[in-house]
Amino acid sequence: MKNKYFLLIILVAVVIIIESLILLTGGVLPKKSPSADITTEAVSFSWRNETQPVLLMKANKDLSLDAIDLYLAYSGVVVNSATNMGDLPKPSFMKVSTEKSLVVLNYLISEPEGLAMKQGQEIEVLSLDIKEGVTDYEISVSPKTQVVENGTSKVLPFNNQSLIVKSTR
Amino acid sequence: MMCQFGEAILSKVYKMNMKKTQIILIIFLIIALIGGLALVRQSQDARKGASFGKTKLIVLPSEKIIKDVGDEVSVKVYFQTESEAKVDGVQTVLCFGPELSLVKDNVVASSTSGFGSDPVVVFKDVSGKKCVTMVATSQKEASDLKTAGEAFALKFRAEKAGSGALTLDKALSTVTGDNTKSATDKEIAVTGVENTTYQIGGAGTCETLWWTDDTHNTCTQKEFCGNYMYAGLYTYDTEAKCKAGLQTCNLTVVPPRPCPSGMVCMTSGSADGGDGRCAFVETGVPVLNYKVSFGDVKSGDTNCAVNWPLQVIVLSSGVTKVFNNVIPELTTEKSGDLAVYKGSLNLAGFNKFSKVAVFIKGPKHLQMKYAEQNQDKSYDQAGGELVLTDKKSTSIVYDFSKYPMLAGDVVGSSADDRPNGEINGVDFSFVKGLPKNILKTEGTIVEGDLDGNCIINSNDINVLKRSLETKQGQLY
Repeated sequence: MKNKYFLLIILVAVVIIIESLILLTGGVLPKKSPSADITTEAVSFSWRNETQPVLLMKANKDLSLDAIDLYLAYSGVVVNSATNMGDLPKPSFMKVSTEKSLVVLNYLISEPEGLAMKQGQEIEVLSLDIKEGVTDYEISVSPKTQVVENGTSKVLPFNNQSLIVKSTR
Repeated sequence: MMCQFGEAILSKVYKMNMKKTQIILIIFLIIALIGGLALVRQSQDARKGASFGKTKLIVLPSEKIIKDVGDEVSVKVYFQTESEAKVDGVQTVLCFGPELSLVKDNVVASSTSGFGSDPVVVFKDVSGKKCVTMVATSQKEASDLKTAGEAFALKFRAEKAGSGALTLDKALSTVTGDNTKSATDKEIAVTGVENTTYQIGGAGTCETLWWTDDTHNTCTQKEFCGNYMYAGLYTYDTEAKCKAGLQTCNLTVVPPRPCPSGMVCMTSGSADGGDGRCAFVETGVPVLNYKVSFGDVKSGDTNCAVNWPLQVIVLSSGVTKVFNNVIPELTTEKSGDLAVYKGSLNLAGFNKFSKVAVFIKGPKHLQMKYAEQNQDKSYDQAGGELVLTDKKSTSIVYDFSKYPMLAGDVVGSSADDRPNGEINGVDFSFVKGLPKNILKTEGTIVEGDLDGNCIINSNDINVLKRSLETKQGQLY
């Protein structure tokens, strides 16, 4: 019985010493890590493949955008040019970089309230003029792309479906 | 029998007493633990005079200041606290050599850090050095105070040639702050100071030297005064050296024609394939004399484009050295309609004198590569062509002002991050979201004020758009 209490006393003493040391040295007890934000992608990019592929952007929730830095990577095809479809303002910069196989567009929306989109709303972003007769190619929204929210300047998460065209010979 | 029974009872009672004592002891220890913890948590309130945070005091620019007699020498004292302690008072003593002079009116406390602009300033001499005691305090709310920032801005005057140091006296420095846990314990411990050095050249002093330049290919003597160096001029202290310096070299021909021992071939292998010039190998510390301009900072409209700190990276033959917080000086010169800034940077720790390239980044700007005299566009080659000497007076003044730094890199991947070397939609959104058309105090560095005119308006957004367009055009 004596030994049992002795061990308990030692245990309490050790707890006191450790707690005191932590507090006196300014150590901070581990903070609760904020729970990971569980967010679904705010925006989805997809393609409509007509005579020329058209990039679509759909809002998955009500949002307002300040900017879209859009980078489209392509392979197996020659992109002659990109045409803004008019749902977004004229991009501040637009270029097809044949050297880097990238189409780069920077949409900067000057309106104070940004570009408002309702949940489920889909807009046409651009169409690509690609060389005719090509049957195997892929165009995708590069991860370098940024969709920036109005007000918070936060980069919104997005998902995208690549446009993959394969011939069926 | 009775005795044995009595003994048994006594023994039981004794054991029970022992048990009770131990239980009481345990309870006492637990109470002591709880009480101890409570007291430790309150200890900051109870310990009078204890500091609740730590800070460093820093003199900027941290790199050696190189000026001439008569020049203004701008210096700042910064504080940088740990543990997010907000500073509401700074008292420090800054000592300097006889090469510099300072008057009371040229000591200003930083209003952007929340201090009243009229600090207490007292001069005294300590061991042959001049020292100034400065005190700045703030009556502002904690939300207007900063954890790191400028405390004092001082404008010295360079009185005579020589070199020395600007040193803060740690022992005589006191910093106070807003302590949310105690109204009485306000001291923030000064754990360190970072000082700087200066070198004042004798502008106006003259020396007789041997010289040649691009149009004068014969060694002759002449008197040179002040900062006389220009592109193509070579000066020597002896005629023999001057004649040796006329030798040419070409390392691209077969067999190659190198320079004599102790000299280096300066431009051999250039695109035109012509001969290079032989130059003596320098042995001191190279000095970079430069002129730069900031995109859209117009001459005559630079009220808030002062003391913008640069990051300068020098590179040659795989050797690099980074210099932070380099403060260029505003000149009266113009590059087009842009204001021109100049500076001389002592490249201590960098031992290359030729084929040097310089990367310069302003506080809200993209890093620009400068590699040739009078550069007016992107230099799309590896390495550089700059040649330096170890003296401010003989090192060429490289003019990069025709290729201004692109403004717009104000934040990183989010509005809370530091600039990340890109201009993109996040930068645009940040500047767009800032309160507009509020005139700021002259001399303050205003976040998002890209043209340096102390006001954020649509022009700053246009500046950013133009920079983005230019940079994207270069990249893609």
